Amino acid sequence: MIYDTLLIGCGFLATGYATQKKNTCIVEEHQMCDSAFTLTLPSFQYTPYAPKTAEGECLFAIFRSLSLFSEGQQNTSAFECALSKYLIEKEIRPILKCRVIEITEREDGIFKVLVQTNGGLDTILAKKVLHTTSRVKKKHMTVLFVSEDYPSAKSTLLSLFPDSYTESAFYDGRYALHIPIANEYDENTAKVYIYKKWNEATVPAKILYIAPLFCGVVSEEAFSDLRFTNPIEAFEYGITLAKEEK
Amino acid sequence: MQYTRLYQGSLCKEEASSVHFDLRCDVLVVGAGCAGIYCADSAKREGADVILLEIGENIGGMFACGNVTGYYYGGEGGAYLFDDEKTERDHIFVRNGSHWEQRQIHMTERLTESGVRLLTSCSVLGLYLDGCRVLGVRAFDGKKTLNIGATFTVDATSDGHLVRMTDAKIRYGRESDGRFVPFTVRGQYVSDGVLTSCNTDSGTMNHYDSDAFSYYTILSHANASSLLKKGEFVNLGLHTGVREGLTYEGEDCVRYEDILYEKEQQRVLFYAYSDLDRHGADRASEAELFQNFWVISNLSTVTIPIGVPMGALIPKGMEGFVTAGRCLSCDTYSQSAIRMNRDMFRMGECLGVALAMATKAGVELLQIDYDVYLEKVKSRGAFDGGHPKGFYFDNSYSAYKKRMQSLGKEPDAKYAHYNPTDHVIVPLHFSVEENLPLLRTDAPGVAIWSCFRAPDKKGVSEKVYSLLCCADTTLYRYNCAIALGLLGDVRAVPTLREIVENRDCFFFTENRRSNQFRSAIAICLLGRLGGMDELPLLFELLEKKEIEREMYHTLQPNYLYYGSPDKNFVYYAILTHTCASIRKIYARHGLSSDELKTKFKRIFHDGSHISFVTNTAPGENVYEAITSFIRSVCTF
Repeated sequence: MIYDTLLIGCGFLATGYATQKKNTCIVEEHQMCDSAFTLTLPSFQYTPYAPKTAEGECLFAIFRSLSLFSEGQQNTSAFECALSKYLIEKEIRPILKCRVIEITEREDGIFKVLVQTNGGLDTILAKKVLHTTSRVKKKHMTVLFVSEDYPSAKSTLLSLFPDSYTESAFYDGRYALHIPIANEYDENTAKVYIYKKWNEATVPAKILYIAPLFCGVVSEEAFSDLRFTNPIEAFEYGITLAKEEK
Repeated sequence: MQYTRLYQGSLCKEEASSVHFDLRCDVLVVGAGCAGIYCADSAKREGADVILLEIGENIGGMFACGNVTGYYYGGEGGAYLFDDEKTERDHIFVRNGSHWEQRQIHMTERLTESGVRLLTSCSVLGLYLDGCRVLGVRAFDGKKTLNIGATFTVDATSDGHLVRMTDAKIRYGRESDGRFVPFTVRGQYVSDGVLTSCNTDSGTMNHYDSDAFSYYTILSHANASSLLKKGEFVNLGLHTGVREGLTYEGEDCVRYEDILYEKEQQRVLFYAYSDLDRHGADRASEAELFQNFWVISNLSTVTIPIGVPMGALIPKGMEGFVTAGRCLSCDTYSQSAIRMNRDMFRMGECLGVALAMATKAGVELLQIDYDVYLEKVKSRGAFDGGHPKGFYFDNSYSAYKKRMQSLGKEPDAKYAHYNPTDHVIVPLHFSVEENLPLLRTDAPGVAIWSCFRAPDKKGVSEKVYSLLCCADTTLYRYNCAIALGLLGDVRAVPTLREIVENRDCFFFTENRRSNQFRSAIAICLLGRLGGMDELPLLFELLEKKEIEREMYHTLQPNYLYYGSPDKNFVYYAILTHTCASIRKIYARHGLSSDELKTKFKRIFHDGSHISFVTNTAPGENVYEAITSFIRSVCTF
C-alpha cells in the first residue's frame, strides 16, 4: 500500500492534518500520541483560542468535557487523554512506538521509509513525508513542584537555576519551573543535575515530577505542536495545512 | 558471519563479511529497565567492560517509566536496597513505594559511578552471528547506525525483541489460546495529599502486532481520563504496562508444575519470590493444573521462592547470548511469577556477576565455577531473597489466627502483638492429616490441595469419601466433595451437582483477594467428572432468567477481586466455567462440536449475557473481555 502522506510524529497538528486526508499514515516514536504537550509540559497557561472548524469544535468539546481548560490555565499533563479520546472516536490509528530508521526516495518519487515497531522492522511507502517533530533549540526541562510558599520557592529557584522561569500549574499549590539545560545533558543526566542542585539548596518546595522529554523553542516554520501553546490551535493548523495542499 | 533481523514479521538472514564494529565491549545489555540496569552495573563492578542501550530517552523500565512504583512481592536483598535507602520516602506524599523519579536518579548515578557506557535513544536493528554465537548488534542511535561487538549480548528488552531475531523456538501466551495476561497503563493522581499510582487493567492484546499495540494503548489512554475525576491528575506511565511477552525454549526451563512440586533446580541463578497469580479473571480457560491450585484450592495468595536456573536465561543452543528480565524460558504460569520489580533487580544483578565471571574465564555462562558464583551473589545479598524454600501464606493476622484455630493450634507467639489486619507471611505445610480439619471451615483450600498432592491418592480418596458420607454440616460435606472431585473421584459428582443446583455466591476466605466462588468450583469439577446427565443443569445456567437469581446481586461488600465495580464477578465466573465445562463434557463424550457451537450461538445471539456481566461500553476492557470469551466459545 502507498500512502499519500506519511506524518512522522503524532500530536495535535498531525491529527488535524489526518482528518482532512484519507490516505494518511501517522507514526509516533513514543508510546503516547501526544508527546509534545504531555511529555514536555511546555506551558500551563491557557491561550484562548476559538475553534474555527467542526473538527476543532469536536476536539474542543472533549477538552471541555474533561475540564482541561480553566481560568487561564490548562491541564497539560492530561492532554494525552483528550487526544486519545479524539483518535478513538474518529477512528484515526497512529502507529505508536514506531521509530523511523531511514528514508529513501525511489526513482518513481515514492518515499520508502524503514521503520522499527514492536513487531520488528517494516517499510512504509508514501508519496509525501511530513515531519511534525522538530529539532528543539535551547532545550528546557519542566519541573512540576509543590509549594506552600510559592513566592519564596520561586525566588530560591530562579537564583538556583539562572534564566529559568516559573508559572502556576493548573492545580492549587502546583507550579512549574522551566529550566534551560545545556546541550551535553541527556534526559537522565539533566534530571540528576536538577535534583542535585535542588537538594543541595533549601528550597521550600518538593519536586512532584520532571517532564520526561525536553521542551524548547522550535523554528517558526516548523510543522510542530511545539510552535503552539494551545493544542486546538495546533490541531486546526494541521487542518489548514492539509486543506491548502488540496 | 550472518546478519539477522526481523523484517515484516519474518526472520531475514544475510551474509555479512568484514563487519567493522564501531564499539566493542565484554557485555552489551540491551534495555535499561529493572533487570538491564542492575545487570550492566554489577557486570561492570565485577570487572567487565559494559555498554547499556536503551531505546527511549529515559532509563528505569516499568519502575521509573511505567509508574510501577511499589513493590509487590519479590525477594529482598542486593544492590537495589542501597538505591532504595537513598531515595527519599515521603510518607505524606507517596502512598506506596518510593518516588519513582528519585529512584531513577539513583539508578542513573549508579551507572555513572560504575562506569557503564549508557546510550539512550538507541535501538537494536539486527544481530551478528557466527553460527549459533552472537557476536554483536547493529544499532540505530537516532541519527546513524553503528555496529557494537560484544562477548555477551543480553536481551533485557522484557519482550524478547532480540530473541525474535534468532532461530530460538519461541512461544506466545497461554497454551489454550495464545493470549497474554492483561496489560495496564498506570496513572498517577494526588488525592487527600497522597500520590497514588493505579492500574487501569486494560484487557489483553498481542503487543507484537504494532497496530494492536497502538490501538489498545491509545484506547487505554482514552479510558484513563476517568482518573481526572479521582483527584489531581499527575501523569500516565510513559511505558505501556505489558505484563507478559514471549517465552522461548532454553537450555533449562521454569515450569509451573516444577514450582508447585518444588523440583530442585540445577545451577540456580537466583530465587524469585512471588505468589502464583495471573492477571485477569478468565480462569475457566486456564490450564488444569493452574485451576487445581488457584481456583479449586483457592490458593491465589500463597507465595513461594522460585529457583531460576541459569539455563532458563539461555536460548537453547546459543552462545554469547542471554536474556534478562521477564523474558526467559518458562511456561506462561511461571512467567507471571517471575517479573516482580525486586526480582528483576536481583536477577539482573546476579546475571551481571555471572557474565563478568564468564567473560574473565573465557567460557559460557553454564561453565562458570558455580561455587564461586554462589559466594559472590550471596555476599551481595542478591541470591535468595530472604525466604527459605517452601510455601507461605500471605494474608492478614486474623486469617492466620483463624486457620491455626481451625487446626487446633495456637498462633506463633511472635505475632502476639499483631493487630487483626496486620500482614503476616507464614510457612505452609501440605500434610493431609494435619490439614483435614480445615475441610470443616470456609477456608478449606490448604486441605484440598494437600489431598491432591498426597502420593497415596487412592487412600486419601477413601478417607475423604468417608468424611463426606459422615459430614455433619453442609459446609463440611461440600468441601469434602470438592476435595474428592479434585482427586478425580466420580463419587463427588452427586454432591457437586447439589452445590450447583443450590448455587449461591458463597466464596472461600483463604485469601485477601481473588477468593473463588464455591458454585464456580463445583461447575469446573463437573466439567471434568460429569457425564451427559450434567448437561441439562449446565445449560440451565446459561438461560437468561439465571441472572434474576439473588446470588448475582448480593455479593458481600467485603469481597475483593481487584476492587472492580464494573463487572458482575459472580455471573462472570458462573458463565465462563459453565461454558468451559459443557465443552469438556461434549469433547469427552464425543459429541458434535458443531452442534455445540450452534447451541452457543443461539444462546448468545443477542448479546444480553454481556450486559449481565458488565454495564461498560464497547471498547472498554471488561466489555471486550466478555465479548472475546463468548466469541471464543462460539467459534472454537
